[in-house]
Amino acid sequence: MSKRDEEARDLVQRLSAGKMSRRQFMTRASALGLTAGAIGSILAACGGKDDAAPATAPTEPAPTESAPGESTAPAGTVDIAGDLDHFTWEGYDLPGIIDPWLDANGVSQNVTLIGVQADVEAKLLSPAGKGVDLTSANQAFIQSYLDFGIVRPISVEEVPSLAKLFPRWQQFPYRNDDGTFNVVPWTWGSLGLTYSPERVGEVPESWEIVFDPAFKDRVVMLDDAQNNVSLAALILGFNPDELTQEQFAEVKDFLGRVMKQSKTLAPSFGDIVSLFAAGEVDLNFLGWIGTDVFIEGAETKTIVPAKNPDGSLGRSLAFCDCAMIPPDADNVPAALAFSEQLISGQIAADAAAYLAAGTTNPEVVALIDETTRALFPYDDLGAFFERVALPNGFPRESDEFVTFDETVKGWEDVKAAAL
Amino acid sequence: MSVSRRLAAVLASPLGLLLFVAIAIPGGTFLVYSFFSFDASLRRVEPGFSFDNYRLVLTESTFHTLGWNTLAIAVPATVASVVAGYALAYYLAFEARRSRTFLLALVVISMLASYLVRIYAWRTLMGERGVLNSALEAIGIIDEPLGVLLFSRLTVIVAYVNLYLPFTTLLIYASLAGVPRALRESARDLGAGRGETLRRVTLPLSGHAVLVATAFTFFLSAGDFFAPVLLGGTSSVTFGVAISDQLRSTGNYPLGAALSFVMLAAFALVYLLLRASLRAFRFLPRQVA
Repeated sequence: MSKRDEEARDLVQRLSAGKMSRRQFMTRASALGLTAGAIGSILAACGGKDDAAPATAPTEPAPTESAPGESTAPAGTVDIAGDLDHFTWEGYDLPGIIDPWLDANGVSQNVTLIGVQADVEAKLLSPAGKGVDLTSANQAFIQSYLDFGIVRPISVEEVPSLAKLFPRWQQFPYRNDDGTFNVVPWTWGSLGLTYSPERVGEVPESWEIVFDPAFKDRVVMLDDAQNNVSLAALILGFNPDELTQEQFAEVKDFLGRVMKQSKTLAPSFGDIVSLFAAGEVDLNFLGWIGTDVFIEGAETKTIVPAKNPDGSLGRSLAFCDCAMIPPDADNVPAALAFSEQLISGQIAADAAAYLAAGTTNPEVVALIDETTRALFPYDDLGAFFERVALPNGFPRESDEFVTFDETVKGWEDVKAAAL
Repeated sequence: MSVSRRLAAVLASPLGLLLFVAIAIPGGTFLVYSFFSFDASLRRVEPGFSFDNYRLVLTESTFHTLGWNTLAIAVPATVASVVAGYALAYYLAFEARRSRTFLLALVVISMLASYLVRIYAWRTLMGERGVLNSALEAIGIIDEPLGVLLFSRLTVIVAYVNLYLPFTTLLIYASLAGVPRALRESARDLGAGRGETLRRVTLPLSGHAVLVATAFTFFLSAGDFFAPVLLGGTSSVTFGVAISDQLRSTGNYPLGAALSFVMLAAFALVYLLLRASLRAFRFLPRQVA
């Protein structure tokens, strides 16, 4: 008998003996990977007062085939009704897009907004995080969240469309060797150099343009320690996941030079859109492709320059935001079903358009509107991600490599040096 | 204890309780946190007692730089707000006649717009395609937009004066309105000019309002981190930004708390220095504050 089987049997015995509530049993059993059908059967067999959420869950096997546009979500065959406490970024609750699905399934989405990614660990590691059903994890934070023990593994049976993801998202840190997923990767985008064609003219060939005296005080940077350090590291030819202190010194020097060229630091991409629209800046180091879509009254282009300043192949950065279910989630069935919607059918396609983002499911690509689809080269994502990295994140503790906290401190040093 | 004093204590107790619950308890908790340590690998605050966070704040050159930059913004903003506020309040209290109500209404109305709206309004005014640059170009004073109007320390200072001038004006006006006209007229009758009357009569009688207005403006402008981010460009990173980074980006509450209490200690020092200076120049009666 495997360890998992032993633990499952122990759970059943504790439930039968009344040493565990039905809600506790559901949470622990889900964490062990027991299917909802099995959990429901056990609960039904044990009887007793029903103090838990509906035992049925969206863990039915995926339909063998689903036509494009049709959701593969199991909702409709299972009862997932109830509150879904969603701790996520503004817009990731998909207002207007997910509402019909929520209404049809009796799910009430209670959204609390994330300010910075670090809010997630701060909340989930505190008593205030109990009961969060679904949250958002940037790919660079997944390893840390695993280390903190705030990740509930997800099986493909629970979120069937996970089996269909592009190969890029069928590997760690998204997927484990045992086939379970840590998160549901669902929205991604690329970061690069955003420029104003009107002011810059020809497509910039190299990152060197940010140091061009003609653009002194015409550059804007996002006030984001980790992404700035990661991007600078890539441009300098370093691996941001394994950045040594010597390399970090070069990265800080590079960022300091960009800072000297910069007019301002923007607190958000929304602010950067405003700055381009107001004609305040011409270039954005660490620019977001969504700027090109959302800007009004002006035009921007976001690219990965062909060359780094040293003449080597130009590199840049991408991000992938994932749905993550904490181990203490109250309504796991609804969280799973919601996650399925994020990567399947028209809801996923509309979400991509709404966020000017990419999808992780090849089946969804055809459903995305042409403009949004054209943002990314879905035909050859492998080549794309060779130039555009998806870092796994800075270690939280390391004697060898630069840590997460050191990037924050280093970024403060860069900002202070510009004063 | 007399009946009236007991009654006063009873009446004040709800406010005292509110202040204790809303300020003393969280503030005390935060102070305790500043002596704790932070386990970076587990993102966990470890209870204990250590001055390490304070040592880091006081020895790290980055924090020194941010501290000086904070002063470079907050001191001019405070001086300008208080001096302009005093002048406006003086005019309202002693010079304005029929226009007083109208001007006071304007001062109050200027406070009604939200903080963020006023900050963004400065962008609209001072931007390269903003109202000021457009006007200067239209009347032929400049050929190209002046980029220095926005994203500089000066912009942040001007914005702070705009934000806090109404407060300093009202605080000082409330004090000046209570200065007996007879005292000022007596000084004039005894041969004092307008300047000497201001220096020897009016200022000392309104010194406590100047003290409070100065402290108020300095604390708010030095502690703010949003206006510098939105208006200040790369030259306006302040101590408040460092506190925000520690509390939000890394979750290092002990270090963030230590930074906060070092800042609070600096505020207290500024207050004491200011009070001593006002007393030294006899602008503040000894029994006040």
